[in-house]
Amino acid sequence: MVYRTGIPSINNRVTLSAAQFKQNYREMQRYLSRDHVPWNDPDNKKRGYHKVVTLPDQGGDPTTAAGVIALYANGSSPTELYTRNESDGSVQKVYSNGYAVNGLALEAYVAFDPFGDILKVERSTNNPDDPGETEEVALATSNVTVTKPDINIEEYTISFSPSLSTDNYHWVIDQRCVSGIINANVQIQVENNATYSNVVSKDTLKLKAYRVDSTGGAAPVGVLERVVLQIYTGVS
Amino acid sequence: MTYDPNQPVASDDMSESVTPLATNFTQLNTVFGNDHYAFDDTTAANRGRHQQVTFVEQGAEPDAPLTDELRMFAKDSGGQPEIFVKESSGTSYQFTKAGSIYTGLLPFASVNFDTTLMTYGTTLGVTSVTSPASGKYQINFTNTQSDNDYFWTVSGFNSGSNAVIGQPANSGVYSDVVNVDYIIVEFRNPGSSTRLTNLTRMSVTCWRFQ
Repeated sequence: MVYRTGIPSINNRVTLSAAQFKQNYREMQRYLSRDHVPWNDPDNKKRGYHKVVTLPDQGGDPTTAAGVIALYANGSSPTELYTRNESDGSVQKVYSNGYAVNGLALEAYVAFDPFGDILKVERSTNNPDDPGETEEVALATSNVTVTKPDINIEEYTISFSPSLSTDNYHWVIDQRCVSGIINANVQIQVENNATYSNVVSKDTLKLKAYRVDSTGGAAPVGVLERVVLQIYTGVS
Repeated sequence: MTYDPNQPVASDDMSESVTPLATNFTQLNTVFGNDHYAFDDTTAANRGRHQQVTFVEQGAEPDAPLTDELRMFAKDSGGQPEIFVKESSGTSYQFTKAGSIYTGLLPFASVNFDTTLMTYGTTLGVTSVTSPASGKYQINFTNTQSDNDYFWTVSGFNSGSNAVIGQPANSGVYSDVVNVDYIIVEFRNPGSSTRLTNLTRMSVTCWRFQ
């Protein structure tokens, strides 16, 4: 059963053409219903709208005319989402390995307290049946856990599962300290170590807080209130 | 050939309707084939799916969609069509801008490097890292920025027991170190005037307004 573009034939009887017409209508209905609200949907306001947009790999970048912008998929294993500007303009990858891309891909982030507990916020579930319903949302990507190996040292191990795509990533780390604590001038950073892989890997990142006053050395326990971390990777 | 929704005409003989009907079936397939795999595509599994989604620039924003719907469209931004998304509340958000996804801040340079000036992983927008003076590291950008009022993060670590403070190099002149073509960074221990030269690894990222 296929859609036919050459019908009706001038030599056909209406009985034959009618069957071909119906066949074409069924085929149009069948294939337009992929990704779209069907032409005969009970809700006539939505007929022809998109339900989803399925974008098979195009095997390259499409051409674009002036005054348009294209959204498409390219590549295999994985197939990724791209945009291309007008007039065969610049190509931008939208997602890479599941991460949104804007020059850099944000592969992980987390905010945690001095016990290594990931912070949570209360957000509405937007449940129309229960407008007041809320849920707790962790301030972290799902691949992150935080542990504090020694309660008496301001060191933290950030673990990533699944692993990050590379161990040569870019980190942004900062902290908020408790006010009113003596020696509260501290900085949290990648733990000092002569060997990169001892503290930075695809699976873990070790952080440690240090004094930034003239005393130097490790930060006193209890000085931290909150730590924020972002992990970015370059996208080829 | 153009699709004619008024065919066939009731008073026409079938012989007169044959050509316009055939034209319509051809045009339905051809027009639907813009952006889509056509009804008669050789790969049956793809028929009806999208090859791409081409958004023609709209002179004005469309009406807000109904509840539980999103509407994606293109309109002019900075002289070229960009993709926007409109919610049922009527609020619209910009999705793309000037060849990038629109997030407000755009990272334009990022590099992970060591004191031998070797870079690691995939750098973004950086041609090289040089050392204009001992303990100073110059990150050279691939593209000259439109201005030097951008944002930066600088960090590093070594084998010592003290904090490593990373920052743009001290200078009385901003543009000497935060430049449209480069940024120069340095690292010190707290309270020390000596620039560190024994870092295990350093990371620098710069962002600008989109």
